[in-house]
Amino acid sequence: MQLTDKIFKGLYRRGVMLEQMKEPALSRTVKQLLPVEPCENPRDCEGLSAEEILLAAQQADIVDETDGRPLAEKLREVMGSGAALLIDAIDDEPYVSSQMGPMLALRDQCAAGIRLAARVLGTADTAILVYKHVHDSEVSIPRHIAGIPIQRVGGKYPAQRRMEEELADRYGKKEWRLLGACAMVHLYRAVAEGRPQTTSFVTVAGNCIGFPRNVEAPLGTPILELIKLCGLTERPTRIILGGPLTGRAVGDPRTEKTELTTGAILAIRDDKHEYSYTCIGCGRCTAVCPQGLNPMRILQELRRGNYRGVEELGIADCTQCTCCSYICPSRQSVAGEIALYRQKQKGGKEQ
Amino acid sequence: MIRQSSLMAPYIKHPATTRGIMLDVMLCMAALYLIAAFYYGGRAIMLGLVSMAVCMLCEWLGSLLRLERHNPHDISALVTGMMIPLMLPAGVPYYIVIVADCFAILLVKYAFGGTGYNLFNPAAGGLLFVTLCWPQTVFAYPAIFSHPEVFGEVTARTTNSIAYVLHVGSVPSTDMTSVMLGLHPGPMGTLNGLVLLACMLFLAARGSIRLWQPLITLGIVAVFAAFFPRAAFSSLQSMYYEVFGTTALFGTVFMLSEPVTGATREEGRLFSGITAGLLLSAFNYFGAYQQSILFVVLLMNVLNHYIDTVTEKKMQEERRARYAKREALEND
Repeated sequence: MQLTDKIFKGLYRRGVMLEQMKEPALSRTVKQLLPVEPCENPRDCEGLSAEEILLAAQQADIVDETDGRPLAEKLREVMGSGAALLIDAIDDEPYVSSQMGPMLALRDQCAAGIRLAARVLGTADTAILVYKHVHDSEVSIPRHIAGIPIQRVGGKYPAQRRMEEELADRYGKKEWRLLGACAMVHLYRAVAEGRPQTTSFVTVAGNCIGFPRNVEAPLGTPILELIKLCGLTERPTRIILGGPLTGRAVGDPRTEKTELTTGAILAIRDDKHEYSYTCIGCGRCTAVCPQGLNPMRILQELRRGNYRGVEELGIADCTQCTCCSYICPSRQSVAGEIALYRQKQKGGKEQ
Repeated sequence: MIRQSSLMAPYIKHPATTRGIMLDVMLCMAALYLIAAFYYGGRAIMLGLVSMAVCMLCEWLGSLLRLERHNPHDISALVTGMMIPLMLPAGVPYYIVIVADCFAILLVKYAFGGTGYNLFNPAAGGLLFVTLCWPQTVFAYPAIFSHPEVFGEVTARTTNSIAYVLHVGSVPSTDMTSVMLGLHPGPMGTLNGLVLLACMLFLAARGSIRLWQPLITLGIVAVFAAFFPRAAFSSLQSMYYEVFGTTALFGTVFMLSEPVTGATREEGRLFSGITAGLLLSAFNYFGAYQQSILFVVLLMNVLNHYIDTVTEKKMQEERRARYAKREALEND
């Protein structure tokens, strides 16, 4: 049995089940902000060696959107190892479909890119990973694209991180490699058409975007331009770069620009006045923490200034998935305080 | 009371709020008050209103004593205020309710820091205090449909509860349907088993409590009652009277399963539920009082801290073992 057949069936019990709200962005075609003429004479990729593919990826400056690392570097680490190739199109955060959307809309390019990457790895064990609980999807997600199987990753958010952890727990680094679906599209373009990566795929969505969709935008496009492209139905209270659980709020959308790892731009209006209460110790944060931490105890110790106690409680293992803050009925910014503490620690160490 | 920062992730929140959780509990208790008003008339409602007003006043006073700003959005004192009279007879004098309220909020809750910091369930603390101070009055239950006077001295005839009958080793004369419908003397909010079961299901459906936790505790009480009946009746009758004829059902749903003083982790809650069941059974057999749930609640509040410490250590060990294994794999 191949590695890709074994790992994605289980449900991850801890975490939070989120309404995905990926429609209508997911079912719409990917809009190219600067349309490129299709290449008339694409290079025949069949006879290319692993070194040639790597060289093309390197010259095209392709960056993997999952971790921001150069694709060529990631491929070189496991070149010829026969490691299983896993393509990340999971998108388990609400609104975001910047990997799943291009994978479905540009499936031929994505599949060709995967085959090229698989040739570098020397493997036939490949699979595309898609989040299972996308119930509002109007497009049917196929079982495979161009012969490459699509595996559905089940469980609660953060399913992607949990899956990566499970892989790390079960198998060594040399046995599998996770690459982004968008990077595969760019790999194909680099190898077959000789195009460097000058664009990134971004989901523009949120409850006050008039025409939510996935956009292929040139790197460095101002965020405001993308929002204008999709239109606003009302004035947002905040604009977020990234997913609603892990992204960051944008100060000025005129000055902020898209980067290689910008997955989504969300314009959200939230009129609810929510007040934070004292933590009542309900334990919901502890029940959902995927790392098995006790966020409410960590918060208590942080507020007391007991930093040694905080370390003992395993704050270093926090992955900043923000499940604790999401579920907290007292609206405590647990993840936010942990992030601030870490920033402070990091700053202290650098000094 | 701090405005939620809009610059920190996550930017979406689960719809459940602390206020919502408390309102759910209050809604359930409002249903119990309606039943109590049907059985005992306006005094039941008036006791509740007075208790809620006193608790809110004490809450404000408590904040003042601690030099803190009172949070007007915090309705936990109302929950305590509603809960206290429900565990008392409908004919209880107002001053006893007021003393229980003051003790609960000022001494059990605010002495430890207020909402979220209390080590003990405030309502259980206040109720236990008045039980120890005025046991005769607290266990004097007016007969059902006797409608005691709303104000002034109560002239209604008082009778013994099923819990007392079981406590002295006699067989209760109330039939099973009457027990389920609450047609027997007892604390005014703990009588109707059907409504209490509905409350339990409602709270579980809303995510305020874990259904299995009260079920485990009550299950253990029922099993003990089946094997060791306190009087000469069948196992089934024994189970039925112990669960529905006493305050066990109310106490497990509203006090033992509440999140603030309960165990934090699921494993801890499971252990806590089992321990509470065993303790409640033991108190039923060996306790000096007819209603022993308050002792169990306060004991469990203490034990839950030990349970939390143990489960936390276990979880830390598991986590360390997992990371050690992962590191070893990566080094290979």
